[in-house]
Amino acid sequence: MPQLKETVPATMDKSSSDPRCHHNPQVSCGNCRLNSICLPISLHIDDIDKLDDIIQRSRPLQKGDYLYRANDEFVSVFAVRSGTVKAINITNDGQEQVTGFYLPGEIVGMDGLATNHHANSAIALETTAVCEIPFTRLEELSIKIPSLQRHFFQLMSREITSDQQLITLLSKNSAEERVAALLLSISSRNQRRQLSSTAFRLPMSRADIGNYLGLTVETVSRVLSRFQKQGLLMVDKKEIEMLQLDRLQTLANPSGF
Amino acid sequence: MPAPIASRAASGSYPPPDLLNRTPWSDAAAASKDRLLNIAPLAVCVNIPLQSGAGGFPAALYDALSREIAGQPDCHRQRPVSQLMWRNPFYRAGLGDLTAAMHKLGSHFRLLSEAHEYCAEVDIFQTTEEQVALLRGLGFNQLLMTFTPAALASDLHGGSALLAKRMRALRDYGFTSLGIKLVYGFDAQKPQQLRRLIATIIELQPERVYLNDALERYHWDPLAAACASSNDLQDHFTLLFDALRSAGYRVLGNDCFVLPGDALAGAQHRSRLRRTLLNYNASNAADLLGLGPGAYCQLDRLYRRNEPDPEAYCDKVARGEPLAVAAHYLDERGQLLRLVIDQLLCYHRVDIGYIDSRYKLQLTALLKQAIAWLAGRLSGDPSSLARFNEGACMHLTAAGILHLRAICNAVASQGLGDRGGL
Repeated sequence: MPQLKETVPATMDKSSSDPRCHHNPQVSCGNCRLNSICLPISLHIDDIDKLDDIIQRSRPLQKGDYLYRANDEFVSVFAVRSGTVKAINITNDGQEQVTGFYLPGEIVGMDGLATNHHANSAIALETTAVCEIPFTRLEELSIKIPSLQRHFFQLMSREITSDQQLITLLSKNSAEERVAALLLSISSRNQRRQLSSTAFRLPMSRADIGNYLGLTVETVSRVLSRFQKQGLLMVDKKEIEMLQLDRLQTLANPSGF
Repeated sequence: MPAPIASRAASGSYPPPDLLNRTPWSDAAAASKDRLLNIAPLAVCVNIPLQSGAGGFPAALYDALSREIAGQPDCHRQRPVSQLMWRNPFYRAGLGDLTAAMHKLGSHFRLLSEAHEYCAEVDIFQTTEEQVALLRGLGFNQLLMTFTPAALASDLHGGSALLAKRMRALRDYGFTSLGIKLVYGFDAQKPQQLRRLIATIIELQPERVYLNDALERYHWDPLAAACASSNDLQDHFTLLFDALRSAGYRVLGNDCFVLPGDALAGAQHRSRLRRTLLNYNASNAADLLGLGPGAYCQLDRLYRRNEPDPEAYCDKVARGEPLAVAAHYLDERGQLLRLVIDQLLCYHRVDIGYIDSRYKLQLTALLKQAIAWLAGRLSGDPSSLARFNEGACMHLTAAGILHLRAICNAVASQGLGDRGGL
């Protein structure tokens, strides 16, 4: 079993060994509102307790705090409980490249699975609470609870899929298609969390969006303005209201799939 | 006193003969184990069979497959997997199932990250973008597209625009080779429809087109076999063969057509093409390991088939019983026949000089007899099927390539099979 001090992110309070949430001891997988989309999905109530036993919960990260850094040893994966995390990679010429956004209920940190070291860094975009899941213990538990293993592979497949879709999006698609694809992705992820799929607040800045999509900040702003003029959506700073989901879907998916 | 300077050729000076003659094994057991460990590349086929009815397909199939993978012996697991074919990966299975099974395969076999031929066989009209992205992310770089009998019988009418769009999307995802599995011989197929169908396919320019006879159960599945017809099979085949050849496709065997720039065409040109029961490959895989219900194995001289019924397959895996329902071990004559047929299929010629010297045969007479027998049956001249360069080679003509299957059968029954000569 890994040492606790190794499993707690550098930015977290290392003295916190109580698996219950530091600022809210009542939080557990059993009563988490995200348990229908996070790891506990499809688990029996007793199995949820077993999962809960291995999870570490610490005080929230503040905006800009690192959850882990590139090349850190891979020890845990993290479920975002609230807030948003961005994953970044530093390119050969020293530039920051955003490689993903993780919303509540989503698992971050699987980039370390292949090599046992994280390939990316993960940074909180706002005040963010995470549940830390030591991977060795998760593997042990998965042997006892096959449905947990199955769900973990589902999450992993989603991660692989979105990586590939991003690579293709960046290599081939227009600015409009890229922005529409990101908005639709956030929309569908909100829907999974039983939030509004048409009205939401963008948790990331225009600069992060541009960086993620390979566009300049000005292009992102121009595309959003164009979408507004075309009646596809309403934009008010970070607030988005999608007015014509179908048209945005057609725009985002020219491939015919 | 310094040693005299040797004036012999330098190329034989290192390593010295005494070093080369030393045994690399510490003892006899180590030597035996190492000989068993064949490190030649391996082709792996994971077969998820389609089912004609709703029942009989166990939800636990992927679990059973994982156990079959984990139970493979070291002699297979340590060989680099240069070719992988995964048939129907999403049939009654989710993205997570394939990810888990691929993880299992990668944990137990030496999967390659480059210079490989990893192909998934999917019904392209039933495939989602997420599935395509996952396949690419898991390392598949080739796709073999299949169509339902209904789609083929209607010559893809109405679907060709969508198919073209999807093929563009597949190329955007980075698949280096797109193939189409074209099954012919359905009741509903008429020559006019077939002409439109093949014209549509040629326009799409897939790198590979595989022609499969709907009656050939080995290649196909119960859905197609149920509506197959034996009428006009030869005419349909000739029509498709001529259309693809006229469009500039290079032919391997007589049922695999590849664009001249495809890796298989290059391998054929460089005499590096290999063939297993699965299909052709350019990655030097001569052995095939089949996993899953109904999968075929070709391991050196052994041919074997797994239990084809998915439910019975899962039961056998759960009970730890042997999965083989049929097996055949090639004798020396069988190996020679396979060598000749592989040369005919891969290169449309037989290197008579090489085989005669290796097996102490008079192969020319045997082949001539087989070709003459077949030409008699076809009411033609033997020279219209094959040309003999005495003592060196037999080359197939264009008509010979068209009738390649019959030539292989004739060589087996009239030449090497009966007369032997061994």
